[in-house]
Amino acid sequence: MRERAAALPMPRTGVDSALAANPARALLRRFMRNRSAFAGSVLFGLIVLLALVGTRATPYDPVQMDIPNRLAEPGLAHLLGSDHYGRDIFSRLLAGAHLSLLIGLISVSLAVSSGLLLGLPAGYFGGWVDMLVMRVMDLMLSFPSVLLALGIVAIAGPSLFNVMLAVGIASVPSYTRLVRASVLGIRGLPYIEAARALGSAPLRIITRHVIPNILAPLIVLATLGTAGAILTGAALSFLGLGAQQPTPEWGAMLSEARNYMRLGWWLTVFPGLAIAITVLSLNQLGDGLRDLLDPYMRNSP
Amino acid sequence: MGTYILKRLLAAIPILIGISALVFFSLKLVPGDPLSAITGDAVIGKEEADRLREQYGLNDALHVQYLSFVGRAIQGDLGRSLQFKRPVIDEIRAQLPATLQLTAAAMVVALTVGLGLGILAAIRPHSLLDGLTMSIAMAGVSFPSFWVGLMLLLIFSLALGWLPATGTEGFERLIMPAATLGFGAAAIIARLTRSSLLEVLQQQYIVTARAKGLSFVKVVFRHALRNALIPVVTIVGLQFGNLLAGAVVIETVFSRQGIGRLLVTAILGRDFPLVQGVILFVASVYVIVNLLVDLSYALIDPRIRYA
Repeated sequence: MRERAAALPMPRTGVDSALAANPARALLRRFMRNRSAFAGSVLFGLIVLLALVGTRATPYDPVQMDIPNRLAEPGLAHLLGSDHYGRDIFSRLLAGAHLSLLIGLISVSLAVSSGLLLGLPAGYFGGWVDMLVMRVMDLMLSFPSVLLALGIVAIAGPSLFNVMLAVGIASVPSYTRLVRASVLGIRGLPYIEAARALGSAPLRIITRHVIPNILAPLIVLATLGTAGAILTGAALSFLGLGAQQPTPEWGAMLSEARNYMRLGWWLTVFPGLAIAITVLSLNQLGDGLRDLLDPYMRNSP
Repeated sequence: MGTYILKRLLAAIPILIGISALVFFSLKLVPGDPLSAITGDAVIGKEEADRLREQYGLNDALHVQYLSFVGRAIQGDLGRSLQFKRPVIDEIRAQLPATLQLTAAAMVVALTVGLGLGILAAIRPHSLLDGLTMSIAMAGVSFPSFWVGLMLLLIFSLALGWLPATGTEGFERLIMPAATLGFGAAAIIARLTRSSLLEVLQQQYIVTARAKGLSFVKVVFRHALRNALIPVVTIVGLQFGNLLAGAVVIETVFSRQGIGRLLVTAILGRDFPLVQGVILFVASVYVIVNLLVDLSYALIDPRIRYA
């Protein structure tokens, strides 16, 4: 059956014939030409690289106190200054980079996989499955997502891991809704119907035909969602509900620095700047990917 | 219109029931003896414990406990705070005005800045002005609100000394928190207004209006904006909820009183009756606000009513 299908002429859309010839290379070329996507990915790549270095090598020990050198201004000895315990802020930011990225990665992975697990059957089968899943999602959406995350942390107790869990669970509804809506959009299309007519089992149709065709909007949402998750995670740590002292998590650093902000501007400026740049790079990348992958979502906020 | 309002009102009831059930049962997941949520750290004897268990209905079946919880909540009884040793509802009532004030002020900031920037950007798409306003909007969705707040404190309180850094009373203590909280929502409103207005400006009736000689400004404000703002209205309702939740962080940054700080204090102090009460309260307010937004949406766009 596969050979037969492959022998059929490819449908020509006429929009981008290069796309049909070599879709991967055409996409890459458009990616490089999209300023937002390109700049975002370069910046984000750099942050990932710094995070990888940061877990292994930092100029100073990120948690070792050095009271004689406390509150050093940014300069040659301490690139971004030192805090009220004399700890080098640049080293702490490097050492904490992977924590912010992990918050984004783990919570979004949790949300995407739950979104697929709930949204695929809801959209594909409809009926009572759909009804049940969507009622629960509507219920979760009737809480502002930050409030939902706060509630989950309240139950599970404050810790960095629980923050990842909470942010992930709180964003499950958006992913489920997107997956379900995408599946509904393609469920009636001829190629799905053809696969069904050929006797493919639902599981096979979902994994081989449905998932590849709903991936584009999901990738866009996951990229923007990672940015949002890093922001919420940092906010919860700032409130004292996430990473605890002396972990150099960026939100927790700001929470501590807030008490000493009169003593030096660099204490509060740099950790926040680190969060802002990371989130900005992901948002740029997500916006660019949206333009590239998802023509229908173009121009929407 | 009457039936539409009634339908929407009735639809809100199961949501409120669902919220109360979710809040009630999820807090039952907290490990440990539920009695310790009442006694706190106090050491009590077995007889006293049994008496309290009976008094608070902890021996009843879960669904019975839930029903009595809802019954009491409807009458305004949300239990007693462990930390403050007084009714949860009194705590909420004491903290509510400050948060409402902050949220309302932030909404004003979000709407004026968001609509202003969005319209400016849409009128001259791909111009320098568009680039600038959209960069500001990008910053608004990317910068952590608590950091923006700290930066404002650093500049306007510590460096320039223009505004008081902390506290709740008075207009000058509202400026920075409202600006900080409103910034993120303004960014989202600006982006949506721009894209929605750009789309409307390409419609044929806009071309017609221009062709019959109306000035561009008149076309934008009389004809285009009315239709472009319909999707913006929905997002405003959602943003209200985000502002309310965002107040949790902003109130901490500026050491302001309010529901948000109350919630953080409650979570850190493991004061579960207070956590439960505040979350239930805020979520209910959110549902009601979104209901009002839905109704106003129907008022603006007749297509909704008759759909």
